[in-house]
Amino acid sequence: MDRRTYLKWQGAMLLTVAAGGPGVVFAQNESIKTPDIAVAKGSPAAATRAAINAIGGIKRFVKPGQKVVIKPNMSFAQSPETAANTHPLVVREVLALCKEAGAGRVRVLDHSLQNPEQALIKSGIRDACDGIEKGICHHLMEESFYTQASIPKAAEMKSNMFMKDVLSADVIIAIPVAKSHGSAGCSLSLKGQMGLIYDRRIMHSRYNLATAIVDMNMLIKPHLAVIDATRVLTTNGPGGPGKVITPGEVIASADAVAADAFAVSAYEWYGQKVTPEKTEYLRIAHERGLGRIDINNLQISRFVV
Amino acid sequence: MPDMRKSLRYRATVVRYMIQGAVLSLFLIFLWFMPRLKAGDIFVQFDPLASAVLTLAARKFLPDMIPGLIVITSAFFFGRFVCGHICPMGTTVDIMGTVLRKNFKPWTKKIPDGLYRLKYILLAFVAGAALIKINLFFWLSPLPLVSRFYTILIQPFTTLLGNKSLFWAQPALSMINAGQLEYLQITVRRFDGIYFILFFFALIFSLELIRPRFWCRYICPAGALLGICSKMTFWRRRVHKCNKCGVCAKKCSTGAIVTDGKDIANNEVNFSAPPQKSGEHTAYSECITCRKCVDICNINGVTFAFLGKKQPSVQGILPARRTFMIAAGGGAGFAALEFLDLRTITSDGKEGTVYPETFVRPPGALPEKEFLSRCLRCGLCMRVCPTNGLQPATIMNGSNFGSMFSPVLVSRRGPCEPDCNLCGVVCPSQAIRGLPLKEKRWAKIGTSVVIPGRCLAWNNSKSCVVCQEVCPYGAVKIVPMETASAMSAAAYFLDSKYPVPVVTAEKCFGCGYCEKHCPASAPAIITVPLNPLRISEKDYEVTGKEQGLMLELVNKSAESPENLFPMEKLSEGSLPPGFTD
Repeated sequence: MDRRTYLKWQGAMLLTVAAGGPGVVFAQNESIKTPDIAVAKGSPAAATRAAINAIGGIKRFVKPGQKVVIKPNMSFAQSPETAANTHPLVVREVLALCKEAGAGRVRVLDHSLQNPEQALIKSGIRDACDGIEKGICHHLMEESFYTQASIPKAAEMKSNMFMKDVLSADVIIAIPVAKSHGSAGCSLSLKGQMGLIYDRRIMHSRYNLATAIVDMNMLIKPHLAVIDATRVLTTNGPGGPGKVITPGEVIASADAVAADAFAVSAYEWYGQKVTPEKTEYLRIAHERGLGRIDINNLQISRFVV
Repeated sequence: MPDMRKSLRYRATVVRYMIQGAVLSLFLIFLWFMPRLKAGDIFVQFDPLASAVLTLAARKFLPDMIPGLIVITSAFFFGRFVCGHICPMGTTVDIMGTVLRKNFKPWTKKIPDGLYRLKYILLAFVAGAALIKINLFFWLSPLPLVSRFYTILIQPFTTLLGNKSLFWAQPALSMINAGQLEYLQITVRRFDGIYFILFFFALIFSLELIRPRFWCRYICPAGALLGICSKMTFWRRRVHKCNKCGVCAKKCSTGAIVTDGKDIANNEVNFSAPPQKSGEHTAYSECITCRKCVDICNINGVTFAFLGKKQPSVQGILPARRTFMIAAGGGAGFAALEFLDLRTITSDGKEGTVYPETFVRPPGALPEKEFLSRCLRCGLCMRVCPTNGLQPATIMNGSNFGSMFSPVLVSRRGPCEPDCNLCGVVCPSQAIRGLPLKEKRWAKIGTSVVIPGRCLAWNNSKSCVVCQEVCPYGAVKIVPMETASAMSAAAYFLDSKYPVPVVTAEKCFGCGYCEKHCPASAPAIITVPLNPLRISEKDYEVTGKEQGLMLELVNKSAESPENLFPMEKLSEGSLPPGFTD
């Protein structure tokens, strides 16, 4: 290598470092400043956007051309004020954000227990989605939309049938409504993923429900959890009717377990304050390393839009 | 121009095929694709036998049965035109007969003339049963039969084909990002007792190999009824000239033309009484006005017309009055056996009445005895039921001869949708009352009961309250074991660390959502016909409220405090339901 070439290379390296340096510094700053959990209070759409922006924006999760599955709660044939389903404006905003990030195929999917058509109409969610992109919001009731998949890290439920769309998705976004649940304590993003599998019965009958919820999430843990706490059904969930409070908040986190843990601790359940460890499936999720429930050690940014 | 002459020659037959095809298509379109239109039931209401017998059994004029009475009246003017052109059963028999006769050799041996009387005897038999208010006609009435055939046997088959082809098409549709199309779902519809229905119809169709329209000739009591009325029909077959070739008699669809004694192997018809002269003699009660004879007459000697000179008719096909009376008596006697059958409901709730516990009837069903005598068993309610929960009763449900094929809700298959009132809307005889949606929600069909010994929460100490989750009426409460102990004796024998489900009977409609979704493989919460609200005239909402029912859908009673978890009973320091230490 002659001197000229050496100098040329040196110059090139210098330029590279000069160009990349600020980026490196910026990225470090970001990792320090980005909270683990963002909680935004405001109107449903604005709070959703602000909460996601606060944890790094939708582009942190969705890259151009990627396949995205959005999982709201929409399996009750009830209107938004009962808090049995996710608020349609929250769903709409998340869908819009995905589109803005340049996502390819986006689907809003669930597996209803009640009449799917009535649930889609009364929850207002299909109308909200159709406003962004027509024909992507569905309840998948037929077995043909599901395929058997094994869960390598499972403790009890080694396999189940999962939605093909979910297994082939690059990004899974859970947007549950926060509500109490008679058997699980409360139903949030991890519990909500039960809407993406075919046979939910065996999760109750054959396995320990909490263990099975964690097993399932070992395979399809959401990459982004956006919990709709604009209204919270604090008693008699998941179907209601029950006491509905209106914190007007939206919680976002890249760690669905942490988001759930925060939601458990933030609101009252049957008029009581409950700590995350009292929720069996969150306790197990933490123990098995699926995510963190020690929210006191996490960065939480709670703000008003 | 031989071709044109040929096509002209089969003019009447072509016209008949077109009418038959159009009517059958219309029937199937209404039946399969437009269940929400109140149209499919019109066809069933056209059944002359059902309308006559129902009126006879009910002892009053039933407005829903007017179409059938119109058909009966039409026979006085047009003979059995309906049998030859309109009846979907007749058309189906024609189609199946044509297919069978092309592939198998027909049986050509002589059949005694007396067999023609069978259908009249059956008619008298069924009428005799109706006299003592028992309906047997549903075993033989053509329109309910054929609608059952197409709804319970054929339509489910098409759903299976659709479902499977979508299964194969989905990957391709998904690849081209076909949006809506990609998520098309066709749910397979399944019905109880379809093999029985298959055998029943296979038998009817295979009889076509013995004689064309065997069903219409010898069995169909509705045809017999029209036959009696068309004995003196105005529009009828007229013979202008005849060379006694016997072709018309040989080809006649129902053997209604009498020859002059020629031995015609295919169609030996020698009625005992008639003057046996020529092809001029028509048994109008047997003629279904298919007009094949017009087309095939070599000398164009036959027409169908209103006016014209009096023609010789054939006598002696109708059974003697004495035979009628005996048959009617036999029918009444046979039907009277119903009163001796263990599982016949002679009066609702009477001591000693054995009511099958699987008989959860559709919402708005008349009181059981009235319901059974009114129900045509046409299967329309089962066709429109969106969840596939309405099923024909079979021996498996504890059904006896008289309640066979009547609709029962099998909620494990599909519950009764709170937002649906279609079964009553389409019911042709209004055995299920066509209630407005608001009133239908008060037509309680049964009550759900928890079987604690099978229940995951009660007995297996597993966390599960799916029944509470899915209940649209908020009738299932979950209570902690401490509270349950105070409420239920079962709690003394069972113990659970999880909260357990309890049903509030006044809030329970009996829709069966809980039974459908219960995760236990043998459901631990079942819907039984316990205290259903079944009234024949009064308003359901008013009556229901009088009886203390609280059947508001949960959305509307969101703030009703007694519906909530009994918080005051949560002992100090214990956690809300579902949370654990």
